[in-house]
Amino acid sequence: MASPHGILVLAEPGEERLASISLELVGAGRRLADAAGEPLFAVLAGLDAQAQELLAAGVDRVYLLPAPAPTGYLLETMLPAVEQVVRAASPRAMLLGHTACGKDLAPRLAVRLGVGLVTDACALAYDAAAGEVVASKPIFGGLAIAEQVPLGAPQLVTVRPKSQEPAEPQPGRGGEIVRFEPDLAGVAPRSRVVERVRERATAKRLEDAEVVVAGGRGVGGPEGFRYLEELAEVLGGVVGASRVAVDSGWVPSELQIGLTGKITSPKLYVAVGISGAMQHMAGCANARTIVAINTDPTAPIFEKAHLGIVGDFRQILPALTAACRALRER
Amino acid sequence: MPGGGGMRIIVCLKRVPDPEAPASLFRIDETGQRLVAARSVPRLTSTYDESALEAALQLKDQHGAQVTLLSLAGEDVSEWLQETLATGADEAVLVQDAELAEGDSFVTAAVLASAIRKLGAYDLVLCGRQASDTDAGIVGPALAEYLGVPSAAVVRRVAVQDGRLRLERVLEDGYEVLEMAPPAVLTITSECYQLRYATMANIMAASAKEVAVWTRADLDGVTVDRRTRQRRLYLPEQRRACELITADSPEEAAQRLAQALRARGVI
Repeated sequence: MASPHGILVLAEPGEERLASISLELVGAGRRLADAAGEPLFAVLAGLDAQAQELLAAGVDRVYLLPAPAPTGYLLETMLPAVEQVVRAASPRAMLLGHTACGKDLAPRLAVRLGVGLVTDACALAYDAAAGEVVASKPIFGGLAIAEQVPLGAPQLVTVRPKSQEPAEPQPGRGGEIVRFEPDLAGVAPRSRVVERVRERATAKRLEDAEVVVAGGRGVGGPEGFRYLEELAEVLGGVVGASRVAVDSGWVPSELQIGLTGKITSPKLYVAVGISGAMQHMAGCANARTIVAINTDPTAPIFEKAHLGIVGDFRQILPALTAACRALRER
Repeated sequence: MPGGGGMRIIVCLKRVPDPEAPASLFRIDETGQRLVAARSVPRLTSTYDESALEAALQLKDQHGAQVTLLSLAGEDVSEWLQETLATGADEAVLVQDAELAEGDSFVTAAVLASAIRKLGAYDLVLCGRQASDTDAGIVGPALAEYLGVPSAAVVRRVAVQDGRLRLERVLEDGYEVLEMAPPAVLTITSECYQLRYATMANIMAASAKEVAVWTRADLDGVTVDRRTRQRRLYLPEQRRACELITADSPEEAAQRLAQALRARGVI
């Protein structure tokens, strides 16, 4: 490969317009590229209009791969295509989303390129003196933060969704689109996508909610979540859950909050029957006010919450719901 | 599928300090580079690896399979593997090497790939979607690349139909159904798979088995080739003085909480 130069991002197409992760990656990529004094590239398997969106957002050159089938991309053909673009573009670093696509693709791409990878980065910086990208990521469920440097060129990083300020599109901004036809002659896929199914438990997205009422092991079963729904309704919020509640089958998996679930940043987070394990707190640590309701006074949640009551949620929540309703009606 | 009846499934497991242990029991060591858990913190199977094992055991229940446990560790953890065998797996292999175990995810993946090649023909390799300590999620897909087989990350359900794998992979807003010809590597998430308890019969059967222990000398072409450099490790500010609301009754406490929230301008 030629001397590594520039930052490359893997943009993901949405339904019609670009998926939001794409603008977040472009925002982060632009900041790194500016710090390095180098150009910003993007690779996208999508539509012309989406490539134009990328240029408007600040990408200097888009490598446009053929758009995938309606069922979505197949890893076995996407991987060699992306690898070929990387070798052609020869960037110093590449950002992908820590998304279903990134989790599938990035580690395999790293092995093919013989380079290092840091996953689920929530902060990025360019160290000009050392000439390298530094990525910060949570370990042990978020108990500690590790600052890591993936080695080789390109340095690979998957970036946590919603952790980066997205780029602001400026229509009319220049840039070029390079149509890239991958050479898939040697590829004989042994897999196929049968179908893609969209599931949405609630109209309101957990990640955007201002108020979240979340339940954990202490809620004891699906019926207990009724109390949480009533409180959430009065507060104009959304119900969430810990991994334990989801894995026990009490609520749909879309409600899971935590390192491997949704990351929320509400004004108010009410944790009901949640012990406060690190991997869960990673999903709500940014909440402005955290309230804990738990029967166990030694539960770690009481070290993370701003306000708390030690007691039974079945008695506390109805009274809290009524009190909040009364306050709202004043 | 190789073998007369049934498949061969290899489950990769990692032994980690209990991720649910209180944060106060963890500290950063003198080098400033490693997070160390107090001796009192139990060591157990990484959370999502348990789900991978349950997925394997369910396939074994449905179709018949030989389930092999595989782990890389720096010390002798055969006792833990022996206990894990008691859930219903058939055999266990431990690759024991302190230096290799200290390597990054790519070293782990290369070691496991080498061990799997040594084990012979297989249909399916299952890993947890990410380890509870590193939270990297790199080993599974990297392993597939080293082995040159298809893979899918964050699979919530896997079935076998007419000799092919049919799986559901979690997406941001739903899931996709994939069909794959084995052999393949899948990383498993916990939604549908909770590891079963050991039965008396399986405990008895496991106690009669030996965990095979391999060293670096038993594997082909494995080097400690690190691809990541850690600059710094730190504990983010976590401890908080929680205002505990007490009252004569839960209802009164709830009232005071509502008032406190109103006073803080939250509601």
